[in-house]
Amino acid sequence: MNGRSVCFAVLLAYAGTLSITAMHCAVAADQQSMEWPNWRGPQQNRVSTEKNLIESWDPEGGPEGNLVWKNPELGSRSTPIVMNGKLFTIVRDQPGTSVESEMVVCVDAATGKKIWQYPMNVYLCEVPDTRVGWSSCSGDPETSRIYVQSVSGYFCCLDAKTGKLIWERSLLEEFGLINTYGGRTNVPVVFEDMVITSAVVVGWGDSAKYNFLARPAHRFMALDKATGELRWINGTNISPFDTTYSTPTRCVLGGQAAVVFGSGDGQVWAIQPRTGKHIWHYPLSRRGLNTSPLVVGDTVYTGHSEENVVGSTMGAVVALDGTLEGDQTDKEKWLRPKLMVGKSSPVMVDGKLCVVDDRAKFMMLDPQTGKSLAQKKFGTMMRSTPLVADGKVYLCTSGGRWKILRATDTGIEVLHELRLEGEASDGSPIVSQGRIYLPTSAAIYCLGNPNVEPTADPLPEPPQETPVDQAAAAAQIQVIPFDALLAPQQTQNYRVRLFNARGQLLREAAASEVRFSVDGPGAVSPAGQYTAPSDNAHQTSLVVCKVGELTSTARVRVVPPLPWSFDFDKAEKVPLTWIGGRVRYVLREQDGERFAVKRSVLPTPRNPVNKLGTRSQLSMGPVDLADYTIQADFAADQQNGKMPDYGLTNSRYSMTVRSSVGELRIYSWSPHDYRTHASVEFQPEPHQWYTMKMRVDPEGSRATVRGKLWPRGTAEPDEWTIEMVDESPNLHGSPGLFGKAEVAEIFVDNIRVYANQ
Amino acid sequence: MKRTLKIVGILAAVLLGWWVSAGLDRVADDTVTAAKQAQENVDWAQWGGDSMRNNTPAGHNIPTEWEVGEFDYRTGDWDPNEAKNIKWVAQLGSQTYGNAVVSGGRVFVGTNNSGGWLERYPSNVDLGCMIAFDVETGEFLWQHSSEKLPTGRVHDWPLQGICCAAYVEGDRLWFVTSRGEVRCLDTQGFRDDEDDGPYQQEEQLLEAAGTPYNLKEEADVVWVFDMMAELGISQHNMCSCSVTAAGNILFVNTSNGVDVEHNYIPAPDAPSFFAMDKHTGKVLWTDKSPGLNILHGQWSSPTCGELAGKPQVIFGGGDGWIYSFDPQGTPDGQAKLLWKFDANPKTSKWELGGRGTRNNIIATPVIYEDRVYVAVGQDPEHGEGVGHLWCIDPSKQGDVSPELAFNAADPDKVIPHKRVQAVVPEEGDLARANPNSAVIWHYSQHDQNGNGKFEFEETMHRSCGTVAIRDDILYIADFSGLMHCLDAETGQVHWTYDMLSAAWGSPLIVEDKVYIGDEDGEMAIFRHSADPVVALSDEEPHYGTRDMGTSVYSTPIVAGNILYITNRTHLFAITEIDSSEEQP
Repeated sequence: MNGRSVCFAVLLAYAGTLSITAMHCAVAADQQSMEWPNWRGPQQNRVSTEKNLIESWDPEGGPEGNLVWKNPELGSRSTPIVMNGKLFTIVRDQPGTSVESEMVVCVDAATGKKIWQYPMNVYLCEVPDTRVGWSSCSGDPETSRIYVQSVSGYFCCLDAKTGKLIWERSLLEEFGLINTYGGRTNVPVVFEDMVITSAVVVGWGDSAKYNFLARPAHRFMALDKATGELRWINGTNISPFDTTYSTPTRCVLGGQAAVVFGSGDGQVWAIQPRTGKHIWHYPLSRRGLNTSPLVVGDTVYTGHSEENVVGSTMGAVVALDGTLEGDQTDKEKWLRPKLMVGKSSPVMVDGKLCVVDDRAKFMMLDPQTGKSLAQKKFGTMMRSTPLVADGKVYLCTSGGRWKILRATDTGIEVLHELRLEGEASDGSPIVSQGRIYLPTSAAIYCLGNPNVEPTADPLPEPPQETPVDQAAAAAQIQVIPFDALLAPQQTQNYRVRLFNARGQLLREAAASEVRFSVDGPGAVSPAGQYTAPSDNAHQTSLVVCKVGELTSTARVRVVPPLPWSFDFDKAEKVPLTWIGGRVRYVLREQDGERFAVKRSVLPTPRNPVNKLGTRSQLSMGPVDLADYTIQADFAADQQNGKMPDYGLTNSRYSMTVRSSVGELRIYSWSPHDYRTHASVEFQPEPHQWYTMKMRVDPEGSRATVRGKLWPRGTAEPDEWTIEMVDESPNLHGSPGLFGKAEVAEIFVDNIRVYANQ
Repeated sequence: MKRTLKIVGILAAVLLGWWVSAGLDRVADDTVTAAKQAQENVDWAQWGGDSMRNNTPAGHNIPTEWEVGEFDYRTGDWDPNEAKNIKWVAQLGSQTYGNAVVSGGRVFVGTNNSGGWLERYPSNVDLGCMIAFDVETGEFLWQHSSEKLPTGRVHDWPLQGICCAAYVEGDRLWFVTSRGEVRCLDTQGFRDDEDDGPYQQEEQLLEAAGTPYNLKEEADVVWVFDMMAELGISQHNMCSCSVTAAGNILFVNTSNGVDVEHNYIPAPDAPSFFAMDKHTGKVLWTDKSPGLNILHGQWSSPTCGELAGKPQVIFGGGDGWIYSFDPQGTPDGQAKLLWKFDANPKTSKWELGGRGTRNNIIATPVIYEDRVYVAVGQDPEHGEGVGHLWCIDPSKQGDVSPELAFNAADPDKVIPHKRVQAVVPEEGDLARANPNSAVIWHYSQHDQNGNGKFEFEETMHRSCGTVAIRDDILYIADFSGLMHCLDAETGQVHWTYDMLSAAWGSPLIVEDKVYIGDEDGEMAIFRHSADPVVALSDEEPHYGTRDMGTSVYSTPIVAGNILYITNRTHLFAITEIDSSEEQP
C-alpha cells in the first residue's frame, strides 16, 4: 500500500455558486455517450456526441459566465476523466514540501468537491515535480475501477467509488521501467479484461532464451485488469530513440482487433491487443513519436515533429492503410512533410482532418489526400488535443489561449476566445454530461450552462471484428503469467490460452492438451503448477508449454528470502535475476578479488562507444521486502579527473556517493529540491574501497533512513553517517544498486542484504 | 488573423510632455538617418556583427520582397521556378541554430548532418557540422564534423548540430563544438594545400576511419581545446557559445550546467567563463562564479568593448547573473571581476515550467552608447513565462544588482546567493534596494493601459533574443511571440507586436528596416521607427511578412549588401535581382 490514501471532506477554494440542479439529470441521453472514461473519450477520437454545449464562458464567472465551478486544487498537466458522475485526475500533492507526492484525486463532477484522494510517493525517479501528472487516469466503466501510472512507474488499480487500492505494481522495480527528467509517462488503456501500458523497459534476460528483455526497448505490458497479473510483454525495436507517450488506440482494422501507437523507436505500430503480436509497423521519424493515432475506418492518421526518415525535413502528418501487415515502409496513403504535429493528436471535424501543430497553428486537411484546406494561427505552443463536440472545436494552447471554433465550408470560424493569463495548458479539455472540463496549471474549470439539459446522440456502432470460428485450429498460444517472481518452493499455477492468427481468443486450453516442461531449475506438474527449487539461490527458469506444434514460454525468477550475500567469487556473471543487472555489470578479477564492474561504455551495434545506460538503477528482488539493511563495498575509477556516482537503494530510498560534489546523500526523489533528503560531505578517493550500509526502518506513518560509509577493512563506526526521517514514507521496496558510470567504472563487491537487526 | 498592437508612444508623448515628444521627433528622422548610411558591411564575422553584439550592419537596397521557392522534401533540392530575389540557396541539415557569419568570401554556418555533405558521413549519421560555403555562389567548400558524444542527450542532444555562430578573423575561425571543445580552424580548409597546425592529425584520422574522403572537403584544424577534459566542464544538453575576442584574447562561456537530475551540478568547480590566447588556445584566466547556483545550462555568449573608459568583457551566467571582467585578468591568471548583476528579482523562484519566475541568461548582452542591455530567459522547452529586460550602467563596481538579499536574523549582512530562490520570505529573508544598483531601467510588466492588470501585451516574456538598437530605438522579441520596441534611453515602451509565433532569434536593423524571424518560419519586416504608425501598416509589419518555408531559429544578417537567412534546412542569400534575369 502506497501512502496515505483516504476519502475525506475537503475545502474547495472556489466551487462556484451557480445552480447546478438542471445539470444533474440527463434522462434523455445515452449515458454511455456522456461518459468520458479515458482522456480521448468514449470513441478514442476526442469526439463527443453531446449537444447544446456552451459557445462562450468567462473565467470570472457571473450570471452569463457559464462557469459551473473552478477548483485550483486540481491544477495539473493531466487530462481529467469522468465516469459515473465522478471526475478523476492526477495532481501534485503538497507541492514544494518535504512530503510532496503525486496524487490521484476524485471529485464530484457536478460540484468539484473532493470525494477521495490517493497519494502515490514518487521514488527512484528523475521526473521533476512540475511534470507530475504527465499521464491520465483510465477508467473502466465495466468494473468501476480506474488505472493510473505514476511518473515513477508505480501502477495501481483503484476502486473508483472509494479510492481503495485493488492492486498495485512497481513497473520500475519489477520490469525495469525507465523514467526520465522529461517526465514522459504513458496512459494505460483498458481492453476487454486487460489493462495495457508501456514504457521504455530494461528488464532481466540478456539472451534469446529470455527474449533479450535486458536490452532497452519501448515495451507494452498487458496486465489482467482484475489482478495485475502479466499476460504478455512485447516491444518495438531495441535501443529506442526516446521515451514517448503516444496513447494506443484500440481499434478494428480490416476485421482484426488492434492497438495502434507511436513508439519510442520512431515507428507507428499496430499489435494484437490480446497477444502482443506485431501486425504492422511504419517508420515515420528518426526520433520517438508522441501523438496518439486517430483511426477512422481502416485508415490511421498520425503526426510527428522530429526528423523524417527520408530527407532532411522535420515533421509530418501521415495516413496509413491499417489493414496491411508487416513492414509498411514507403506504403503510406499520403504523407505531408514539414507539418510539425508532434504533441497534439489529430482529430476529425465534419469529415476533415484537423491538426494543431506544436506552434499552435490549426490546420484542416483533406483526409483523402492530405491537401491543406484551411489554416489559422492561434499562438506559440500547443501540447493538448482539441475536443470536438456539438459541431464545435474546443481547444486551449499551451500559453492559455482558449478558442471555441466552428468548421465552415471554407475553413474555420472562431466563435469565442479568451486568454488565461499566466496559466499553462498541457492537459486537454473533455466533456461529460453537458459540462466541459478544462485543465490548466492553475485549476480545472468546469464550464456549462446550468439551464441546459445535457443530451447526446448515441455513440456510433464501432467496427466489428471478423467473427471467430471457435473450431478453428489455434495459431498462437499464451502461457500466463508471462513473468513471475517466486520464493524457493513457492508454486505458481499456469494457464494456457489459445488464439487464432488474428489474435482472437479461441478458448483456454484443457490440461489434457497441454504439455508443460521446465527449462531450468524447478518442476512443473502436468496440470501446469510450477514449483520453485528449494535451494536458496538466485536463479531463473522457463516454464515451457506446448499445445500441438505450438510453443510458448513463461519466465520465472526465484529469489530466496533474506539474508542474501553476493561476493561473486564463483559466479560467471552477475545474477540473472537482477533487473538491469546483466550487460551493465560484468565481473572482473583483479588483485586477488573478483567483483562486479559497472561499465562506463556499453557498445551497441550502432554505437561502439555508447554510454546510454551507464547511468542506471538495478533492482534485486521482491518489491514487498521491508525492514532490512543493505550493505556493499564500493570503489571507483577516475578518468579525466572525474569519478562516478554510486550507491545503494533500500525500500525506494537511495544512498549515493556524489563524487563530483563531494557528498553522501540519502533521498527518494532526486530532482526534488524539498522532498525529504539529507547529505553530508564526503569525497571519495579513486580505487579506495568503501563499505556502505543502508538501513530503512518502516514505522507506520514514517520511515527512518540511515546510512554509514567507512573505508573497507577498518572498523565499522558506531554512529550512522547520515540519517533522516521521512514523514511520507516508503515502507517497502526492492534492494538495489545505483550507478552513474559514464565518466568512469564503478566496482562493487560483498553485497549483503539482511533483516534489520 | 487577429493581431494585437499596442500604441503607447503617442500616449507617452502626451503624458510626459516635450521630452518624449522631442524623442519622437528624432524618431521621425530615422528613415533619413538610415538612408544616409554610406558604409556597408562587407563581412559579418561574428555573432552580432562585432564584439558589442548590436546587429545593426550597414547595407543598401536590402530586399523586403522575396520568395524562397520550393524544395523536394526527400532530397532537399531547390526548385527555383517560384523563387524571387534569391541569389543562391545552400542546403543545411534538418536543424540549424548556429547563425551564419560571413568573412573573407565565405559563409560559415553551424547545423547538423542531415544534409549529408560528406560521402564518409551519410545524412543519417548524426553530427555537429560547421560548414563553409562560397559567398558568391553558395558552393559547398568544406565541413568540420563533430561526432556525437557517447553520453547522449545529457551533454550533446541528438540532431541539434552546432548551435553557435563562428568568430572569424582573417584566415582563422574559432567556434565551440557540440563536444565541448573550442576549435580554431583555417578558413580556407585544405583548399590552400596546407595543413595548418599545430594540430595535424586530420589525415591520419581520416585514413584510420577507412572510409573514402576528399581532403578538400574537410576542415583544417589549427588547434583544439577540450573543455570537458581540460577544464572538467559538464555541459548541459549542448555546448554552445558564440565566442568573441579582444586583441589576442578569446572569450568563451563553457556551457557548464546541471546533470540529468537538474538540481545537481556535477562540475561546480569547473569554469563557467574563461579567456584564452586565440593563437595558441592557452588558457589565460578562468572564472567559476555561477558554480552551484547554475540553474540549468549556460548558453549565453560574451560581449566585449570599452565601457566607462575601460575594457570590459561581459558574460551572462547560468545563475541569472551578468558578470563583467577585465579582459586581461590578473597577472597571476585569475579573473578580475569588475561588477556583477542579478537579473532576477530576489524573491523570484526557479521552477520548471511557465510558473517559474527566476530565469537564466541565454541572450547575449549588447553594448550600446556606454550601456549594457540584456534580457533573461530559459530553455524554450521550459515553456513561456515572465521575463525581464535590463539596461545596466557598466561604470559601477562590485555587486550592482537592483536588490540585495538579507535575513532578519542579521538584517545588515548580505546573505549568500541561493540558487532556487535568493530571498525566501518564509525563512526570514528580505530584499532591499541596492544603493549601488546599476539599473538604468527595467522592463518586465507595465500596466500600460492602466486597467490594473498585466496583460499579455504588457509583459516582457522569457527570451533568448538579443536586443538590436539604433537611433536609441531598441527591439527585442520574446518566446511568447511579442516583438517589443522601446526607448533605449528610458525603457519606455513604444509599441509591441504579436507575431503569434515564438521568436528564438534576434532582430536585424538595416537601412530603415527591422527584420525578425519566428518559429512559424515567417520573417516579419518592420519599418525602423518608434512610431507604431510608421513601423506598421494596418497593424501589420510595414514591409510585410515573408514565408521562409520552415522555422527560423536564427537571426538575419547583412554582409556585402546581401541578406542571409537560415531556416531549419537551408541558407538563403537574398538580394534584389532584376526580374528580367533568371533565378540561378
